[in-house]
Amino acid sequence: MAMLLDKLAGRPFRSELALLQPRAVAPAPALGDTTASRLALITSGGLVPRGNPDRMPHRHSRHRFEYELPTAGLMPGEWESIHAGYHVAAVNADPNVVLPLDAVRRLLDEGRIGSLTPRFQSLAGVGTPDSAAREIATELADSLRREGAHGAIMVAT
Amino acid sequence: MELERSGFPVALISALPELATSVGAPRVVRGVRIEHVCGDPNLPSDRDRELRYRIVSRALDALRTSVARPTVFEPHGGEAAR
Repeated sequence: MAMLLDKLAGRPFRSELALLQPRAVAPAPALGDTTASRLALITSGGLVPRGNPDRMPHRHSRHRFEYELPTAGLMPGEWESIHAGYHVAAVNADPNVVLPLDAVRRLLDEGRIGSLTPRFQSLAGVGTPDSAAREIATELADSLRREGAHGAIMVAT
Repeated sequence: MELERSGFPVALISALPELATSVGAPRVVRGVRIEHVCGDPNLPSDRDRELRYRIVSRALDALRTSVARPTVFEPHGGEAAR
């Protein structure tokens, strides 16, 4: 209200809502050679085993979930997206569109990736507050460290 | 970004690369559509798979590339700092 009155009167005004300033982060050093690297896969596409056994929330994520990468690939019917922010039909028809495991496995077979961590990380995001996003990222960093990963490929929806 | 701070480079595949770079993601690969990031639903399935392979290959290029600023890697080659 004070802002509106100031604005109408032509006085200088400023919002009482503080806008978050993006925090500048120096990029991590590049991987010299991915053929010897261990990579983790992360998706914010809300990908879960069909039926969502762990009840991943479809919005306002507070945590990330992890699932074994299936040996036989991501079969439609076994996985689904519970994401609240986009039309999930394409993912349900082919989960590789938000977690490109088929392409990653081909690159593994060709020797262009050293290895993968055995589990992938999944969440939906959608209106996750900045503070929660930071906590999730800290969880992700801890899990990458535990799994001996050197870097990650993440798909954002 | 916490991952980068912890020393893990991340190749972020996004259909909205300008949004990703505007919040500081350093290595971004352009995906196709929000609901179909890796691949193109308008292509026949073999070419859709091929495009997904290209996009993920570019993610490896991105991980191997030193960047000073947020940079977008195009699936068919080329990259530009923002």
